[in-house]
Amino acid sequence: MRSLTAGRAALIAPALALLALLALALSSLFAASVVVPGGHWYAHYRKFLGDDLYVAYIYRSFRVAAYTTVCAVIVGYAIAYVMTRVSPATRRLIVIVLILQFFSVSVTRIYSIILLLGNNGVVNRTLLGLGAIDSPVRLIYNELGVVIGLVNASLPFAVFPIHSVLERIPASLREAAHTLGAQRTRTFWQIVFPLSLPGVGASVVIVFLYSLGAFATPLMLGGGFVDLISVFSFEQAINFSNYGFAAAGAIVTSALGLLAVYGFTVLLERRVTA
Amino acid sequence: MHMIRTISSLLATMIIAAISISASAETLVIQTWSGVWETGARAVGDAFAKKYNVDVKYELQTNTRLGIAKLRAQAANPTIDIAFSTNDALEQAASENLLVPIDVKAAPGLAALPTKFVHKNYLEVMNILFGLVYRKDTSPFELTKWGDLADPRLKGKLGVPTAQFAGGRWLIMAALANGGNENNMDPGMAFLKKIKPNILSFYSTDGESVKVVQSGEVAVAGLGILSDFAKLLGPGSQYRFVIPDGPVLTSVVSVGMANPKNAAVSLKFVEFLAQPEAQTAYCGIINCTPVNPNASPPDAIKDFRPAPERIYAADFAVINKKLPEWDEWYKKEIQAR
Repeated sequence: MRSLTAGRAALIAPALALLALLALALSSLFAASVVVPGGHWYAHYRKFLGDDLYVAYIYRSFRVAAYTTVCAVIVGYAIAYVMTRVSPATRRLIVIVLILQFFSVSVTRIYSIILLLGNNGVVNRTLLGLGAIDSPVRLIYNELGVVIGLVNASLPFAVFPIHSVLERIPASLREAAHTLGAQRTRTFWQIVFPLSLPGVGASVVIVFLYSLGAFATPLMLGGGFVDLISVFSFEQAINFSNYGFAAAGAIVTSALGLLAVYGFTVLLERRVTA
Repeated sequence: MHMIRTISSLLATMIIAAISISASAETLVIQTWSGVWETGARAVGDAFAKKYNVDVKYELQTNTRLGIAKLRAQAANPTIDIAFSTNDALEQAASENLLVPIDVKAAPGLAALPTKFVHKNYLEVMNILFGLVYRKDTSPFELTKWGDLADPRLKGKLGVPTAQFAGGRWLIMAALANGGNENNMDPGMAFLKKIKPNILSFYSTDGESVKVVQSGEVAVAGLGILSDFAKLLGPGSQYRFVIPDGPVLTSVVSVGMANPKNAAVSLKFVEFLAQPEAQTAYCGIINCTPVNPNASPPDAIKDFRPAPERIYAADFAVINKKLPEWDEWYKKEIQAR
């Protein structure tokens, strides 16, 4: 009995240490946001929430994160579904590609998107060469470019949680539905998809939070027009040494992000348990 | 058993050797930018290491402000001894007590420099030049003046810096080119509004400025650093670096000492860097103008050297104070569609 307790404690200790570290980091962030020499404790928050320029960072961050989540989860679901239907060798190949994509250097990956979709990129040069367009189409340096970059980066986060749920759905359920005369589409929407919702939920949360905090992708693919909240925090903290203001922006975004995730998970749980 | 004994004695020998090596040589940690800047710092750092038997290590900073942030973060227990930075950034670092004062009396070698380059907390080492950059093969015309950036033929072909680039120099340059200065930014702001329709993207670091031009994303970079583009210039090159008529803006590469515990060897390095040999070597790689009058600038930039009276001495006390406000304006008016 004693050894079992010691074993559990050993397992819990690292998790507790990580939580303590996170709590310390968050509390120091919060402390920085409310310490205003010669001003009210809420001065940074008032400035952040009272200026359209800064509120726009929040709107933009949530909008881009939402677009990214929808696109990544749809594409990710399709890939995860295909992974459950192909041979083990093909599945391994898809996993390897996703893992390589996950571990590739982000700046290189983003730069390759610029070389592909940029003004002078492969796509624009091809279209110009074919005479389909007169001048380059703007595929990056806007929200579309940032979303493409973020979907590309977050795809592994979307695929694996969904796949782990899909592969646990017994094939006998599909077979039973077919035996009873259900078409493939109906089987998917009435059997497979509802059972895969926990995986979809996990993907949504991970991809959304990942996109909300993205830094390099919006910086490089947004071309200065699509700076998200992380860019705001970086500029304020590093370039202007204004930690308090940077922290206030980060706290507001984190709080809203957690609220959104909480609301989503509550809705999802209701849907799953209904 | 025999193998364990052999491995143990081998390990012991290695540890003793490591201890004796570290005891014999002092260590100096130099923080610098990457790319050509790192190559330059390594050239002088390695020469210093050889001359004084010092173990020199290098740490890289992504940009100038991140370098200062690093000094700030480790202020209680510094590990960086020498910080390569710019004069305006080191002014800020000094105001936050992040730098060790330079003891001029203990460093007679600093007499090699005119006294105006030796500050209380940092040493000016060399000047880098700013100008506009374009690609002859993709630009619709040859640019010669700042006003050309507003030409409608450049629509969607122009990359410009963010307001924070190089400590706000892009905004200052826009003001200077239109009869203003850091105390009168209105002419510059009006000019920036005029060029806005031409802007395809913004860059926040000099590395990005090179990348957007090299990849062909933009035909023109509104403000670039000669040191970054010098390697791309020359006969037959498709790149052009232009310093238009009028006031010239420079940035002063400077060094500061950040670690009081290693001040003696740091001061020795600062002294070393003031000498004409070190400055010639550094500028030969970086393509900049040494401040030591006995050092020679590289041939590659000789044609670009402006008359000294054209170099504008910006007041960075004003700029550092006003930059957050200008940045807000820039983001609302220029960096938004």
